[in-house]
Amino acid sequence: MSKRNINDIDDKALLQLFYNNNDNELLGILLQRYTLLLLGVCLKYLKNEEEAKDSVQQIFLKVIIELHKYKVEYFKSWLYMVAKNHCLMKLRDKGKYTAELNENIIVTAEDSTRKFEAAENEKVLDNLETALENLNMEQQLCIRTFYLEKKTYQQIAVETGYTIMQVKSSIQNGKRNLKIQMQRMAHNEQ
Amino acid sequence: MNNNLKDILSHLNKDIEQDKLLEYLNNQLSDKDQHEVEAALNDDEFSSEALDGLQPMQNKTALPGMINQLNSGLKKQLKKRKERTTKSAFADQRWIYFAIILLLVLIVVAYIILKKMNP
Repeated sequence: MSKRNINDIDDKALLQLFYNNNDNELLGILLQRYTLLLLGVCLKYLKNEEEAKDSVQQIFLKVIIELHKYKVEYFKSWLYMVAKNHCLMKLRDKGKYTAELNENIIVTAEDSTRKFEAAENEKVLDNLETALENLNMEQQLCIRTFYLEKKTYQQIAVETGYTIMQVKSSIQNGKRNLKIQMQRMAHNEQ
Repeated sequence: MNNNLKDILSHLNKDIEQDKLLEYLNNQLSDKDQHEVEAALNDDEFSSEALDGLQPMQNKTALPGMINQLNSGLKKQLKKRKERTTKSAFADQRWIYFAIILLLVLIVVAYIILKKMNP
């Protein structure tokens, strides 16, 4: 298969191809798709460029060894879990992270690939509007501006005076809270 | 209610390509593309956490160089591992080759002895 073709195929197919042919070059192509994300996650936790770069290489090595031993279904979620656990272990060794690495910290493939079905009926939209009104002002404002007015984080930050990080986390936390509320409402209706 | 609100509930799970994320980090995208990347980030914890780590970097233009360096390190690791695997495969098979040769020698010796005993 040509290199161009390989670059066009998705992670799942590429991983399957690697398992079938046991060709490390395919694993290299797959891993290189995530170098930037791995570096970013390591930088977030370790806060040091050199340490983050070393960690990315250690994660690469871990993946090369582990993938030969286990059959992985959802590569991206699994890689994220490996990277996050690696960083948390490093912090724990330094005494900067005391919580236990447990199932709650590990993101499972099911969690991260679970799809929240798009709202189709009016009832769901009504519930959504109610849930939105129950959010705090900051989350409500950021979510409405982001999704209704299609503004960027930067534009919302300028308009509201919040920092970009505040906008980002308000949207993400707000979304999470909305989903929890919606699930609760759906449960109560049953 | 504006139909755009439905986007809040959809989980697009759309992957952001590295190049696009780099352009985003360097403010090289249009507002529309920027919004698209951010909408994907809201649904992707891996990318979102990565962005948290990359955004505070002072010299973001150095990122492609760092990525290339890490990728070439990865290629070296994979090459080293391939060589080791090939060597160990040969080492595993060495005993098989030795056993085959020994068996052949024994057959030849046995044939010669038998031939001498029964001329």
